[in-house]
Amino acid sequence: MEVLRITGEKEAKQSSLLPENKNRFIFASQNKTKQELIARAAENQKMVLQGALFLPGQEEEKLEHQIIKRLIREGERKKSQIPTIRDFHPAFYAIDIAEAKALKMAETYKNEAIFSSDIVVLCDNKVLEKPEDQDQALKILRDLSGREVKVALGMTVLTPTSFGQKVLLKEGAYLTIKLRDFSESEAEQYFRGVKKENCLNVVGALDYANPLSRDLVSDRPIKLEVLEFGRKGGEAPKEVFISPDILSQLKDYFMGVPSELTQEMLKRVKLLRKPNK
Amino acid sequence: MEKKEKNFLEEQGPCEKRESKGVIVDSLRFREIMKQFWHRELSLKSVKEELGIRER
Repeated sequence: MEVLRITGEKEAKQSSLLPENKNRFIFASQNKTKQELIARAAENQKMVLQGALFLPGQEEEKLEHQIIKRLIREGERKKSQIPTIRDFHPAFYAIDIAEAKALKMAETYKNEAIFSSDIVVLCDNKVLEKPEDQDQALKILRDLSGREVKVALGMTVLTPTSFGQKVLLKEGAYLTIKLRDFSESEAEQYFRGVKKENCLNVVGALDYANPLSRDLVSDRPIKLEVLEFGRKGGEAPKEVFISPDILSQLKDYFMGVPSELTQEMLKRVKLLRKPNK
Repeated sequence: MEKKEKNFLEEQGPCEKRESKGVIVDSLRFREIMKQFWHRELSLKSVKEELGIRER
């Protein structure tokens, strides 16, 4: 696997001078786990993850906050209108954030395909933040005892095409998980067993990919809704129910880069960039 | 959540009995289903149509 790192404006300019490679793309995230997952999906599609860093001098989280604030303002303005699925389906927030990140990156990396993903975790319709430290992570986890957690994920690719114009592909999915009632000592015990950085790295402080997390989740099936962009039936979500026993094998979904969907989107990028015969 | 759906979720039995009720219990099966779901027959023409881009 070839991973070329882009670290600043200078490298970005140089990269656009390289012979054009239709199978290269940039991933807009600083998250190492996400980068590894996306590099693996790219390898399966014989594509090259060219750079996997966010804009130099830009803080990814600051930008995300600005976007969320803007979305909330827009949502409030729309209240007087007839609501659409877009207005009340949180997966669209994740997609909008991913889209905004890709567009921001495209200001610097003008000739590259830019892949971006984001997750928004909600509990009782409130957006959960990433914990700043271990104490906060423990507090967040304690508060989630017995509650339903919703993980919305959005992915976008902004890519130049062989026919001249840029195209934005987007997809989204939405997971609903019920946590069981657990005590404060059980939450503490959980934190002793998992890697701390994994819990600080995720929204909602739960490292779903760790087998220990299964014990904090109820036996109720996990619901996965996928948004059907561009399919018949418009944007109505399709549902799949998953046993919580396979929770630890869905790491890519909880990190916001589902493997099958990522590969499918990369296939489309390749197709859109292929020279016309 | 609709009452019918809530009942379906709450009344699930042990995992091995769930598959027949439409709950995926195997990760390989899950991957297969998701691959099928997201897979689309791709041609540049179909992608352009889907994106609303007119052929010249």
